[in-house]
Amino acid sequence: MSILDESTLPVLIVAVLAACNCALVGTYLVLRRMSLLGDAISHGVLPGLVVGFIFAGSLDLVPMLIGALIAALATALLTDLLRRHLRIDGDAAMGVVFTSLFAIGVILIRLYAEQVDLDPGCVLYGSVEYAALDQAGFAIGGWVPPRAAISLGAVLLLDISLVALFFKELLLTSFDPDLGNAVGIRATPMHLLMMGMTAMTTVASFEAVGSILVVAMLVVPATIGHLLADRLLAVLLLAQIAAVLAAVFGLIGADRLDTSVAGMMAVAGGGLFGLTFLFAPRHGLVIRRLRRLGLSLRIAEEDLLGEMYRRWEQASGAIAGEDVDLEPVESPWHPPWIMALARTRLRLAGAIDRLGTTADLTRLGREAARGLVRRHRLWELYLRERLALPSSHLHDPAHRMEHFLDEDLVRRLDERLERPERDPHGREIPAEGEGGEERR
Amino acid sequence: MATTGRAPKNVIGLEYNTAVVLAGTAALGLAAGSTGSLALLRRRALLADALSHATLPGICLAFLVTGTRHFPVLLLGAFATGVLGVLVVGAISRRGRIREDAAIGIVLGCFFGAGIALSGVIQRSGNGAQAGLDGFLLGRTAQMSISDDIWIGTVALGTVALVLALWKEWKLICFDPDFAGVEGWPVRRLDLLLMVLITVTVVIALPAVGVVLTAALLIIPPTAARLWTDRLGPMLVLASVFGMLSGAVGTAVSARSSDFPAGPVIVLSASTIFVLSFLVAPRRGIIARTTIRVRRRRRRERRRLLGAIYEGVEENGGRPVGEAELARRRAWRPGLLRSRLEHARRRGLIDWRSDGIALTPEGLVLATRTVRAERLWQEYLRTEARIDRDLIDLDAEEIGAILSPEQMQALENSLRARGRLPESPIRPGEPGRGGS
Repeated sequence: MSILDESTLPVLIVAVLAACNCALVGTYLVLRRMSLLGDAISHGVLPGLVVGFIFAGSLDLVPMLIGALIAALATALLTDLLRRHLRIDGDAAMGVVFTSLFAIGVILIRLYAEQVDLDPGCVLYGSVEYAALDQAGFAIGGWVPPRAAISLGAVLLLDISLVALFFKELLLTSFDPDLGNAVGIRATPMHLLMMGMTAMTTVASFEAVGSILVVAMLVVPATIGHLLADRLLAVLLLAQIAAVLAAVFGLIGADRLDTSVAGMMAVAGGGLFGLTFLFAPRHGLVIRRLRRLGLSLRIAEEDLLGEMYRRWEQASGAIAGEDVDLEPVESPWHPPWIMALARTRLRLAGAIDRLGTTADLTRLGREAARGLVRRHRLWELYLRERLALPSSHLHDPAHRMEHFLDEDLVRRLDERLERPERDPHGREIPAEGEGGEERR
Repeated sequence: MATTGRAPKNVIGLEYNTAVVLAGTAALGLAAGSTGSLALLRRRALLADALSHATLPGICLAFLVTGTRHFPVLLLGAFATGVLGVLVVGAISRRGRIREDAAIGIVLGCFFGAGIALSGVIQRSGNGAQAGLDGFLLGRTAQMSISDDIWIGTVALGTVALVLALWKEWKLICFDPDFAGVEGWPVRRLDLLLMVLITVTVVIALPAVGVVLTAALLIIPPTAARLWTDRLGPMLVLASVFGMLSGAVGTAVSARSSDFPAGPVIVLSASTIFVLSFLVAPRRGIIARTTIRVRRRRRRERRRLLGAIYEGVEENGGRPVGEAELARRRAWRPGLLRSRLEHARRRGLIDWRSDGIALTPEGLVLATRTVRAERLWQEYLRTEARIDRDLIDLDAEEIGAILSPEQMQALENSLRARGRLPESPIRPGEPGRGGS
């Protein structure tokens, strides 16, 4: 089937609307470290939903919303009470409150399941399919939209306008509540607003995705957004895109496996998250591993060149440039495979010949190594002169710093130390650039 | 300690089956109470929630692969994905960009979603055994056979034995993991073992309590026990007792009326125990705390009143002080002042006569102590800390414990020189002759 044909279109619309709703609120929840409050509220609203439902006798949004808002407020307040007055660890306090409320909700459903048409399974893990079948009592241009789409759409509009209206306030209280307080934007009302929006979104979405999978929809797209971007607006947009993708892929997957759309939406979200976690451009695991590998490779290359230069220097002092040292340079700092890789790269770049013995250092390699040794010895001298470190303590810090000193800093070191020629150990500090060798 | 499976027929009027299941869930409560306590102290309470949700796909996968409803097989699957879930939470949140709460939400939601999707696949494959998996969501003790129950009870007791065997290690990593690390204990491996124990407990609790609410059995009894005690041993014992009680009550109720899934009833029994603890626990309970607070406030107010009377009498040159003047002195509302005066009179601290209010000997002792401490503080802050006198309003009596005897002596001399040092031995009958 195509996901755009007549029977699946309503399912798609409901799924996308629910996912987008949750992602919008979730972005702020994740940002404010309230992800688990989302979890707690989505569980805790259950008794409120059921009581509202029992009173109204139908899946009418308004009474259930009122019940759920009261229950959400109760969840948050009770958690706060336990935390503040009994000094119970925050997580545990939350765990006590929301599991108890949830248990009450389940029992209420069982008690009244005969009288009202509420399937506990549906409440727990939702059913996009059934939500899409339940049609609204009117048509838009000859098409009868699902009732869930109307309520989800209304809540989404409300959420968007609240976020737009309080964008600055939410931003400030999320990132720097103290600054917010100082300029007169109080954190508490914004906190309450977040709780209200979470409760509202949970209620509107639970019919489609159920009260447990709401957690996935709240947290997963939002986290994807946070992994991909730093600016709030970008995070919000990316989270929306992730939500739409999770809904679409979830629908396709559910169709293939002939199973629950809500469950597959969570799975698709998890898959998207996994991909982002591994391959996000800046914070992805793979990228970071590669970046770190690149850094250790550069350091290994520089260490190799530096060590070869020093041996060459010693040898040429003794026997005028003849190579006496045929041992390839090894390093205790780097694993052998990194050294092998570094050696290969240096050979390809023409800095060394063959295996990396002293004689293999080409003119190009010496040129490159001279800069490094210069940085090393300047830094040693600086530590000696300015910090008066004993000479046994100079090498190790210099060995680290030599890889990170930039040109400007080297020039200033040189000027401060009044263009020295010898390092504290009495070795020559190679001069800058071309012609250094001739000065010898 | 609960025995497993060997309960005789018709104890306390229960059927054999129910008695067995009861013993099983009690053993379960024992295990959940003890591992839950460690989890709570190690601040892993909500990780147990993610973990229990993460077991659902394992159960479904085990069923799909093996095609049996044999408990140990399903529970092995649950254990596998449960451990995977915990590892994923760790792997995601260790990088720093994603915080642990978000990681818990991700694992909880996505794993549970996968479980729902898989159970949908099972349902539509028309295997007919779907009913067996449904019980795992909210718990259905009625389905447990006696052999299942013996199995669960044994694992539960094994878990408890392991908790007891490594007692010192748990104590260390719960209260001071850094110290434990410095001392050379394998903190990470112990942590991992603890997570495995928690996972095992969650897994064996699944058939009785269900995926959705198992975490509650690990969180609520220990949190309630924590209200009663500050020591690890008593906390574990209490948590286990609470766990056993809620397990037993939940099972009994659910066995009597098939309407109720066992899970929610067990959790609600635990919540009831929690609410009771919350109310009546000694020191941390809400009643005890309120009593202490009210008593402390009363004492402070009484002291302020006596101090004000003392000063009034002092200024009047020993004559009793009028009510109106007292009210002016500390800006008390008349009604409030009156009730406080009544209160003090009933305790025999003041003498309320027609010409005004004076202190009784007992009241004088208290008032002297209060005013003395207050003025010493004021003097100290005025001379040493250079704080404006009007800003000082202290009634701490512990000044002697804070300052050195030499400092106290100097302060007393300074006050005495100005005739403002209340001396303790004042004979009854000459109230408020403050200095000299």
